[in-house]
Order: sequence, then structure tokens, then C-alpha cells
Amino acid sequence: MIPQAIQAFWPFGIFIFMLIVIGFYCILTTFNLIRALIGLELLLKAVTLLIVLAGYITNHSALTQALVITFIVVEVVVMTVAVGVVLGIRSHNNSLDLRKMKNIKG
Amino acid sequence: MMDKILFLPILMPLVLAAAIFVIPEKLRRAKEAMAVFAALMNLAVAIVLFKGNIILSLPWLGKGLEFSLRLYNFSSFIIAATAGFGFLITLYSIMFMRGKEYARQFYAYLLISISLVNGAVLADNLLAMLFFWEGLLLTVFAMIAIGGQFAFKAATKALIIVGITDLCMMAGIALTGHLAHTLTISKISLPLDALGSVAFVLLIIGAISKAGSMPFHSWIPDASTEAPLPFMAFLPAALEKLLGIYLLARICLDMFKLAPDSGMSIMLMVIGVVTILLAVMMALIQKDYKRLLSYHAISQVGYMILGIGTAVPAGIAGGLFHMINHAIYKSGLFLTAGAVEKQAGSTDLNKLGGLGRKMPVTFICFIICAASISGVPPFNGFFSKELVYDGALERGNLFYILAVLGSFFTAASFLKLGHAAFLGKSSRENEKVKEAPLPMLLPMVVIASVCILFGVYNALPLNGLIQPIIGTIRLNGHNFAGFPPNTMLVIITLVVLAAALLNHLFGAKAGGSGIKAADHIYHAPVLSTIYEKAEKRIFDPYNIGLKVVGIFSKIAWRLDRGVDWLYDTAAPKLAGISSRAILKLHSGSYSKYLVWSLLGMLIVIIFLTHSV
Amino acid sequence: MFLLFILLPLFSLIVLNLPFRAMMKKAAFWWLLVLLALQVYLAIGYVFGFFGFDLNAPIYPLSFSLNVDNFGCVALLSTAVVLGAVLLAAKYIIKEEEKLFNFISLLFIILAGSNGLALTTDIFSLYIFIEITTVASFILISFDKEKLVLEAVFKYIILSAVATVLMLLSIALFLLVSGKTDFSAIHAVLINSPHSLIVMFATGVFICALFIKGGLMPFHGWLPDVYSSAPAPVSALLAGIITKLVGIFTLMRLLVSVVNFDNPIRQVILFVGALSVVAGALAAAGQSDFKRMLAYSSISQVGYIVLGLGAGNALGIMGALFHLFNHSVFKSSLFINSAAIELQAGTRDMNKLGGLSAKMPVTSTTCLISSLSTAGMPPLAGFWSKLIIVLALWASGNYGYAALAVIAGILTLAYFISMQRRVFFGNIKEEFAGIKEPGFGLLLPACLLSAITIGLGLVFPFCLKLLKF
Repeated sequence: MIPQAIQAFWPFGIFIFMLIVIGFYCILTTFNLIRALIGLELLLKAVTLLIVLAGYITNHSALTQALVITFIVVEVVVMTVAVGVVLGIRSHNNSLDLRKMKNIKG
Repeated sequence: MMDKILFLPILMPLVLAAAIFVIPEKLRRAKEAMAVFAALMNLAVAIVLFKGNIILSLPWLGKGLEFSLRLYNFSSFIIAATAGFGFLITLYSIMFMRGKEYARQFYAYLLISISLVNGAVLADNLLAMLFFWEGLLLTVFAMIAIGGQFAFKAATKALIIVGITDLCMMAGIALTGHLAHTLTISKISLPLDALGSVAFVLLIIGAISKAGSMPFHSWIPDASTEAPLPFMAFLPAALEKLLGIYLLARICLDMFKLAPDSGMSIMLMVIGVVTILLAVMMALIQKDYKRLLSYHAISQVGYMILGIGTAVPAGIAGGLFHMINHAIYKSGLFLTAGAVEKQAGSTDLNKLGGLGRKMPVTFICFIICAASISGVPPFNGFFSKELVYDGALERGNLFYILAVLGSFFTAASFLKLGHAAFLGKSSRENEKVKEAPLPMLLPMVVIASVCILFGVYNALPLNGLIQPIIGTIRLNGHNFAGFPPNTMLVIITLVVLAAALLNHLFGAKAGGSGIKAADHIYHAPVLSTIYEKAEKRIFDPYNIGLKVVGIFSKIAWRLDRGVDWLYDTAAPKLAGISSRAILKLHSGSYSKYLVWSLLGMLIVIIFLTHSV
Repeated sequence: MFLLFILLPLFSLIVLNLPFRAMMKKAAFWWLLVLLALQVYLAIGYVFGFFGFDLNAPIYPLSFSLNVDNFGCVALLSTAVVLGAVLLAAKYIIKEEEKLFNFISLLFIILAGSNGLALTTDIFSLYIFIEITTVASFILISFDKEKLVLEAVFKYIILSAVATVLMLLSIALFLLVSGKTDFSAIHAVLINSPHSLIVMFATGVFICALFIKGGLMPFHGWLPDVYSSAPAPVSALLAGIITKLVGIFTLMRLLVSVVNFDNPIRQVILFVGALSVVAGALAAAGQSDFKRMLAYSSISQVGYIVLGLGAGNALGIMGALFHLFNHSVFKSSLFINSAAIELQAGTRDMNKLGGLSAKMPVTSTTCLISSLSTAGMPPLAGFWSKLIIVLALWASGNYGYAALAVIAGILTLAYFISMQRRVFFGNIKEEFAGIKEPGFGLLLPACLLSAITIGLGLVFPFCLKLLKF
């Protein structure tokens, strides 16, 4: 089943892979905290797409829907907390620059 | 029940020694009285046991390791001799030890030594004998070490030398037991084949080292200056010779069949002759009374070894006779040295002189004993030496000549000693010297008279003591009592003695005093370098051994430092370097951490999927 | 029945926070303590078979697939113990009531999440509970909103979220392969097609995700920063529960119940474990900040647990579980000690401290006991767990790793003793002349945890039943 599925859905696979790559690139190469969060979001959405794809291929649409909804909720919570932390950092450093955050090392 | 009496000579001195330890310091006379009493008791027991023939055998550890004691003519003879000497020395020590703080220990160790010697002599099982033999190591060490601050080094040297040879003897005992399948001495009788010779040699090493022959001798001169004098008179002079030669005789006569032509016999004779000559040459140049006497003790052992090594009846008889004679006159000589030390305060020959007039009795005893040791007829030394010459001549002319040469030097050396100490002008410090007190004189006189007795009436010791030991089979019909049969030898001896006298007179005139009498030998061309080196102890095997040990311990120390460096320096430095490297890598930027994670993940995935 | 473990904290949270907030503040603390005590009792009781009835009976109409086995009980036990210690410490350290209340509410969430994690049998629920716990821990860490903390938390969030992404990636792939999310279902499928590319890929990704969450080298980047800058009770919480349960316990679950645990995976785990042990120990040796050193030490100890897992035999898994529990106990104790020192002396720099044992004897002793237990000194508990791990490694043929574990134990001992010497022994500096012991609230948890270490060490040979499964 899987090899045929891959044959049929390979564009989706490529797309998901590209999203993941872009997401990682975002996180790794930006100096702006918010952009890092955006990159994170991209990653999370890419994985959501993958779950949807998997559900579609295996024909378990109900389970997949439950999974995806739950996942989006959790993702929202995580993001909220992350943005809260960024706000806190901004209030200390007065900037969103990653390069100003080099206080802990070693 | 009768055989349990054999425990008496072993246990009684031990118990009395313990009693001496317990007596409080205040009752000093009590200590001395107890010591004398103990020695007297020992003598009594020895006389009672004399010529007895009792065997006591107790099962001990099984498998041939039983604790057996055997009283027969040889061992009873040694016990009697030990007891006699013990009594005389104890009597002598009363006066000598007066005022010395180690007196109590000395008496106790003396008695313990007597007990151990009795045990070693009585023992019929090699293991039991080893036990007593080793015990003597401790008492020797203790008795030397109590002599003073420098005595400890001498005591250690004695302990190490005798200890090492005792180890050889242990190996020999093990090998003998293995070869003979039993450890009972009276049952062992082994031929001198390859392994047998090895066992023989190992056992011999133990025996002759105890007796004090070369090359195990170097502790004796050092001990002589440091240890208390009665110790010297008792142990190295008497007991150790008795014990060592006793064992040597038993090894050669009973346990192994020492044949006259065997290599072992030649080896023994060579050891004997070398000991005689080298020791007496060293004795010749000594300037201290006691050291001189100790070198002579070493030298005379050579005669005993030579005698027994000849393996012919004359030689054996001579060796054994010499053993008892030597014990007699050497202890006598040491006793005179003690008297001189006590009265004149020193034994340095440069300081003594002219004591003959002040201490006449001592002087006469000295003359008698010195004449005995030199082999002057009709004293006992003459007869035993003649027998040894006889045996040596039977085995080879060279041995005979060398033995006679030894006699020459012995005589020369004693002439020098007597002259330096007793004749000549007395120096100012010696003005007030008086004769020694009676308890010291008495043993000397007794010994001197025994010298005369054993000399003139030599059938007594020979027929009564020595010849029964050798046994009628070996004697082959010889009877050595009476005047030596070979008149040729007697004449040669007399000539040699006269030559020695002439040599001494010449030397004394040339040197100007008694001490310098031997100086012309000292300064002779080859001999002087040898003498210098010997005085620097280059030839001393103990010092050589110490040097070798020193090299080894240096190497071991270096290795240890190396291992230490590895642990102390290398490992922590390595840890420190890697630790700092890791810390540098943690720069604080999460993107770097993320990159590591992704890289790690990539590697993991590749690893997991590459085999699929 | 065990569903209550999850539901009760959640409901309590709701109840406590909504009505009558003012009254509830005092009640919250005690109620949490009661819940924790109950949890300890039930966990130990279950394992020793106190209860006659089947605790797995579902409560209608809520049927949520839960199963409790011995694995789960160890997790429940260690959660309860560590949370108890953290609770007591927090009560002492956080003085304002309002903040304390918030803190306790968050602790309820963590309790619910950890319990769920321990009890679940479904891979997606696993993910949910992991996220619950993690997010709650984000908030807990940044409780004071200090500058350094926020920096560290941000790194943690990014890395943890990346790990979540990877985890979900592999969950999706598992879903693709098996069609269900149940442990047993996935297990059935994976056994049958062990070497297919997708399965291996998914397994590898999942494992790496768990490595990141668990803080193993080289995936550990966030860990030292977070541990050292978080407030002290939260560090204890993190080290004791969150990293261990979310990372390592999940790994155990995965390897034992889900994935086909064969050789390549074993090799990877062994290698990563060994790397963590050694690199963690080396890094710890060079630290001058007390808490950062404890963080690296945690990495090292987690490496031990993973080494035990990697051995692959039952003995190894038992050793790993035991070490997990022990680590929770002694690492929490050490962090509480560090809290005491930081509170009293005001600094964490070990080079500035010194000679504190005269003034703070109890802290010094509990610190010493916990350090020795970490290093594996008999007869403390750490010795037993390390011994079992080394034996398991030896029995499974990995002699090199076994030797490495032993050598690293020496290194562990070295840096702990060095720490002890620098901080507690030696001469006291003038500025610290007036310090004294912290109050009872901090001493109690430290003493309790040390007592557990010692007691478990002495009693362990009789308690082997606890860990058989």
C-alpha cells in the first residue's frame, strides 16, 4: 500500500519536505526572535500536513481529524507561551535581537 | 616417661629466662643469682643426660613431620659442652655486666640461646631443627643490638647475612625431604648425585654460615666491637661453632655419603683453606684486641671445615676435635679480652701495653690459650691440628701446605697480640690497672686448665667423645689418641712455629714495638693493596649485596614515579583539556545547538537506515 | 481507577482557581500534599500487591485507554516524591501568597501531565501529555521573569518545539504504516516489517526527538542554561521529573512496547549514552557555577540510564528504571541544597564559596550524601543502580561500554568531591561569616530525600520485586 501511496502523493511529500526545510532555515538563520517563531510555526504546520496526508492514505479520517484538532490546540498554547517569553525578553532588552541574548555560555 | 626428660634441656632454660625477665630491677643480685642457678641446672641436666641414648618421638603434623628428639653420643656431647660454657660465661658475666643496664636482657637471651641450641642439637627432625635454628637468629640479633648505639647496624648485618643463609638451608631441607621422603635426620641417607649435591650444598651453606666461615663471616668482626663481650665469648666463639660444625658433621657423615674423591669434598676443603688463609691475613693487621680475635675465630673454622671435608678418618676426627678445642680456647681468649677491657678500659692495642705485670693470671691464661690456638705442643690445639694436617696431606699436598701456612700466620698474629697487650712498656693510663676480680678469673683458669688437660691427656676427649661419634666402621682401626704417629708432620709444625717466632722478633725490632711486628707483612707489595681494599670493605659480600639492592630499589622507585606521574599528572591534565574544549563549544546560541541536534539526527538516521 | 490520577489534579486545579480564590490559597498547598501522599501510597501498594481489586477497570463513561504496570509505577512514585520535595521547597522560598498559589496550580498541571505520561497506552495521548508537561514547565521556569531566565527559556522553547515537530513527524509515519495510534497496534505492525525504510526512519526521528527532550549529548544544548538559571525548586522539578519522564521514560516505553528493539537502535542508544556520560562528566568538572555543574551532571547520569537501556536485556532495563528513580531523588536533593546555598550566601560561584560546612552542617551533609550516591558509593542507592547497569552491559557483551561506565564513575566522584571541597570544606570567607542554615522548610525536603537515598540503598536487595516486570 505504501509504495503506491508514495507514487500517488509524492508532490505532497515534496511540499511538506520543503516546508520543513524552510522552517529550519528560518529558525537557524534569523536574528529576530519573532521570525524564529514564525519558522517554528512553519514546521508545526508542515507536520500537521503530514498527519493529514497519513490519515488520508490510510483512510482513517476520523482519527486523523481528532489528531489534527488536538494538535492545533496544543500548538496554539505553545505559541502563546513562546510569544509571552519573547515579550518578557523584549521588556528586558528593549529589542528583539538574538545577538543581544548572549549572556549565558559555557 | 624416660624420654620426656629430653624436654628438660629445652624447656628449663626457657622458663628460667622468662623468670629473669620478670624479676624486678631492684633485686639485681637476684638476677645474677638466677642466671647462675639456671646455668648450673642446665649443666646438671647435661651431665645426667651425658652418654645417654634416648629417642623421643611425638607425632606432630603427620606425614613424616613428627617432633623427634634424639639423644646420642654426639648430641649429648654438644649439650654438655654448651652447658659447661654456659655456666662459665654466666659466672664471668656477673662481674662484666655489673653496672650495665642491659644486664637483665643479656642473661635472659643467654639462657634462651642455650635452650635453642639444646633443641637444635637434640632435634632429629629437620623441621624441628630448623625451628630452633631460626630462633637463634633472633637471640643473636637481640644480644648484639643491646650493646650500644652503633650496635644496631651490626646486629642488622648479622641478621641479614645469617637470615639469607638460613633461607638457603630451608631450601636445602625442603629438597632433602623431597629426595629422601622423610625429614628424620637419622633416617636420611642420600647419595651425592645431581639433585643430592644441590641439597647438600644448600644445607652446607646454612651450616657453615652459622659456624662463621667465609664468605658469610663479615658480621662477626663488626659484632665483636659493638656487642657485649660475653656474647662474643659465648656465641661466635663457642656455641655457633659447636652448632654449625655439629650440623656439618651430621650432614657429611650421616645424611649424605661424602666420599673422599667427590667434588663436594674438594669444595669443602677449598672453602676451609680459603677461610683459614684470608681470615688470618686480615687478623694479622688488626689493631683492636676483639676484632683480631674474631678474625681468628673465622680462620679456625676453616680448619674444622677442612678437616671434615677431607672425608678421611684422620681429618674428620681432627675437625671434630678442633671444634671442641677451639670452643675452649677461643672463649678463653675472649674472656681475657674481656678482663682487659674491664680493667684497662679499652681494647685498642695502641693504648694497651705492659699489662702482663699488672694482670698476671690473665696473662698466663692468655699464653696458654694462644699457644693452643697456634698449635704448640703439648696443648690441645696442637693435637687437633696435627690430625687435620694428616687428613689434608692424605688428600693433597697443596691443602697441607696452605694449612701450615695458616698456622704460621696464626702464630705470628698471636705473638703480636701478646706482645702488644701484655709485654712492653705500660703507658701512663694503664698505671692503675689491677688484676680482674675472681668471678672473672675463675672461668679463665678453668678453661686454661682444660686446654692443658685435653692436650696432654688427649685420649680422654678422643676416645671418649670424638671417636664414638665417627663410629668404628669409619675409623677403620685407627686410634688417634696419644702422640701423633707421623713424626714428620710434627717436625714441620715445630719448624713453622720457630719461623713464626723469628718473624715476630724481626718485625718487632724493625717496627719498634709489638704492634708493628706484623707491619712488614702489611706493607708487602701485593698484599698491601689487598689489605687496603679489604679494610675499605670492598670484598665484603654484605656491602656488595647492599649496593646491588640499592640499584634495584632505585629502578623500582623510578618505575613508581612513572606510574605516579601517569595518575597524578597525565590523567587530570587530559581531563582538564577536554573539559575546557567542551565548555568552549557551548557558546550560548540556540541555533548552534539546533544545528548539532540536526546533525546528530542525520547521523542517527543514516546509521539506522543504511543497512535496510 | 488510575484515571483518577489524571483527573483529580485537573479537577482540583479547576476547582481551586475558579470560585473562592481567596479561601483556596491555603488549601491548595495541603491538598496537593495529600494528593501526592496518596499517589506514593498507591504506587507502592500496587507494586507490592496490596490491593485486591483490579485497578485497571475503566470508569464509565470515560474510557480512556490506560494501563498501569511496573514501569508506570516507578514513574508515578518518582513524580510524587520529587513534586513533594519541590512543593515544600517552594513554600519556603516563594514568600508571596499569590505567587505561591500560581506556582502550586502549575504544579497540579505537571502532576496531571506526568501521571498521564506514565499511564498512557496510546502514542498520541503520549504526545499530548508530553506537551502538557512541557508547556507547564515553560511557565514554571520563567516564573520570575528575569532576564537570564527568559533567554534560557526561549532556547528551550525553540528546541523543545523542534523536538515536538520531529516527534509528530514520526507519529505521522507510524500512523501511515499502521493506521492506529495504539501502542500495541503499532508494535504489531512494526514487528512484522522491521526493516522497512520508513519504519527505521520514523524510529530514528522519534528517538532523536526524545534525545533532545531528554537532554543527551549532542542534543542537549538547552539543558545547562535552563537548569542553571531557573529558580531552584523549578530546577529540581525539571531535573527530577520533566526531563526524565518526558525524555527518558518515553524512550523506555517506546523501545520496550512499541518499536522492535534490535541491534542498530541499540548501538545508537549505547553510543549516545556513552557520549553523554563522558562529555557530561568532563564538562561538569570544569564548571565554576554550582547549578550549571549539576546540570552537566544530570546529562551524565541520564547517559547512564540510557546506557542501561542500550544493554537490551531485562537487567539493563531494570537498572535504567532504578537509576531513573534514584536520579530523581538525589538530583532534587542536590538542587534543593543549591537553593539553600544561593538563598543564604547569595552566590552560586563555587570559587567564591568555601568553608560553609561549619555554618550549614545539615546542607553540607545532605549534599555529601547525594553526591556520593550520584557517584555510586556503596551502600547508598546510587551504587546499586550503577552496579546493575554495569552488570547488564557486561552481560550483554558490551565490555567496552561497561568499562567506560566504571571509569566515568571515577570522574563523577572526582568532580563531586571537588565541588564539595570548594563549597563546603576549607576556610570560610569573611563575607559569609554570618550565614546560617536556611529554615526548616528547605531542610526538610533535603533530609527526606537523603533519607530515601540511604534507606533505599540499604534496603534495596530486599526490594527487587519492585522493579520486576
